[in-house]
Amino acid sequence: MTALLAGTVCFSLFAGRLPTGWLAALSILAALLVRLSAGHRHDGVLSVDLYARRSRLCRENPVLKVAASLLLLVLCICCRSPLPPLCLFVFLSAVTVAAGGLRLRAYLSLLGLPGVFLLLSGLTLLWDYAPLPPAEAVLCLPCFKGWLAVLPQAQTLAALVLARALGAVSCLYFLSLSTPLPELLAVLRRGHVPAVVLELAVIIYRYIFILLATFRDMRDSAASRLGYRGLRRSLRTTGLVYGGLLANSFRRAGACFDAMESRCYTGQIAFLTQPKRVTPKCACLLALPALGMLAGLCLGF
Amino acid sequence: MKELLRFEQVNYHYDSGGGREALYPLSVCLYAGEKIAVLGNNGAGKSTFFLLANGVLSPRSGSIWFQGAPVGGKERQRMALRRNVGLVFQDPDVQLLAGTVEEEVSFGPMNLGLPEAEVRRRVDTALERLGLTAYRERGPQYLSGGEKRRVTIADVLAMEPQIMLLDEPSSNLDPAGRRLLERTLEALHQAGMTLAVATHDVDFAWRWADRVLVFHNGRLERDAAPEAVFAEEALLARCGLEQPMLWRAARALGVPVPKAPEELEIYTCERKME
Repeated sequence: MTALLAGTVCFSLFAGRLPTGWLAALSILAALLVRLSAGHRHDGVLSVDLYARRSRLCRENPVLKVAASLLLLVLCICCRSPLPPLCLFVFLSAVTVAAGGLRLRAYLSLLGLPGVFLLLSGLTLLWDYAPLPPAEAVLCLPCFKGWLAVLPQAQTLAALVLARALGAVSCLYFLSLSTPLPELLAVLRRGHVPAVVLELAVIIYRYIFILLATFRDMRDSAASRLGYRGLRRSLRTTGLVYGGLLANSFRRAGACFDAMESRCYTGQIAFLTQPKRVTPKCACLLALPALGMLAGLCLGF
Repeated sequence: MKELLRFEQVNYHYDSGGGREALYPLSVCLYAGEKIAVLGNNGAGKSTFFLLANGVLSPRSGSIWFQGAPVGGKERQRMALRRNVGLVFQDPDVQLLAGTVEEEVSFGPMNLGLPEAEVRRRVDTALERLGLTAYRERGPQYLSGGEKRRVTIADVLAMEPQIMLLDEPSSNLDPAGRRLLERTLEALHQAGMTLAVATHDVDFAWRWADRVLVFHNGRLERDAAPEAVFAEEALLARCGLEQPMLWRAARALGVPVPKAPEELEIYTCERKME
């Protein structure tokens, strides 16, 4: 399904700009790439955190990483041509995969989720509905007494939006696949984000794991008692599991608060943080795309 | 022996829990350097006893004394109790909070308001004593059951309490994890820590403890040496406990009860000599 979507978007993006043979080959290639990369799935949030901890870039200074990703993000969105964001995407993906030591397959499979959203929005940007076939349309399909058409302006716009979005995704993925959440929170703390927000984030981060584990146990035990046989029963079981999850969470929350109090918690969560120095390697890796993007912007791209 | 913690006619009942999970007038005294096993079936009041001793709950009536001074109901006084009496919770997931083992262990000392160098020293010492130095950067939520347990003990150890209470520390541990836990407890005892361990494992209580508290339905039924407690079969039956395996084996063989199974061999050898 995603592969089909990718092929269609690619086809409508380049229709009228490339010879037909090339166009078909490119579309099929895009579809195949997506088909190959969207392999197995992990459980979203957890795997991102796990990859971040395993990444070789994890040892780098988190302030630098946050600042650089934000700068690159802004530069990427300011671009007026699709080329620099695409270069940024390729470069940062390479950094995340090669310098971070992440498997390419894992990276591509993580890209799958935003990828689907991007392709869907690309489709709606590309195709317009008109009562009469527009003269300059590169593609035209009859539909419900009207016409669905792809205009060259729409192609330019969609290419720009898609490129910017891809660049932005690569910035955020670079950050989240190299910096574990607790370090990210420490950076935000230094940036004077209110303590309440950060403490909530710490606790939410912690309880995602507990909630997920509890949910998995409850779901599996319901499944082992044939709770998901048939649609009606599945719905009922799902309701029961979520209800039980709520009750469990309340009980859990009480116990957790007791545990925090027993270690002299007085309303302020503080941990010891390990200082991480800025290394020349990381600084170069991040300065390079930033300079490149700045140069691109100055040259009018 | 130096008195550390004393309960005098301490009463507690939960608002919602009905009569079952309550603690009736409890008077008990813990001395420095003791190894205490707290026995009792589920809902006997062991955890409530620990939460009171740690200052998370405060008694409805009666008083708690620490080192000869009464602990009042004020937050500051209970905080002092928490500083001196550490509690390791039964479920490690309830206790674990931070993103890395090092941060996790630093939570308690940071709450004590210590300078950073001192926090670092305590964290390093606690991690080293529990053999967790290599796990420093790991996320506690990704560790195994036994490793999580050691992290929770390090959590409390870093606060340098005088008494450590452990609520069923061997539950959910594999045999290797249990052996390691016992070695850890022995090392803590050697270092002078007063230990109280709530457990269902009578074999462990016999092997390890030098004093046994038996709880049943919120009452302290018996407070004596393990030899005396396990000899009272009526008491054990009433409280839903049983004799340790070694007691039953020794009785079947008609020999005195040893502390370790290897000693049985000595008796049987002696018998052959005769």
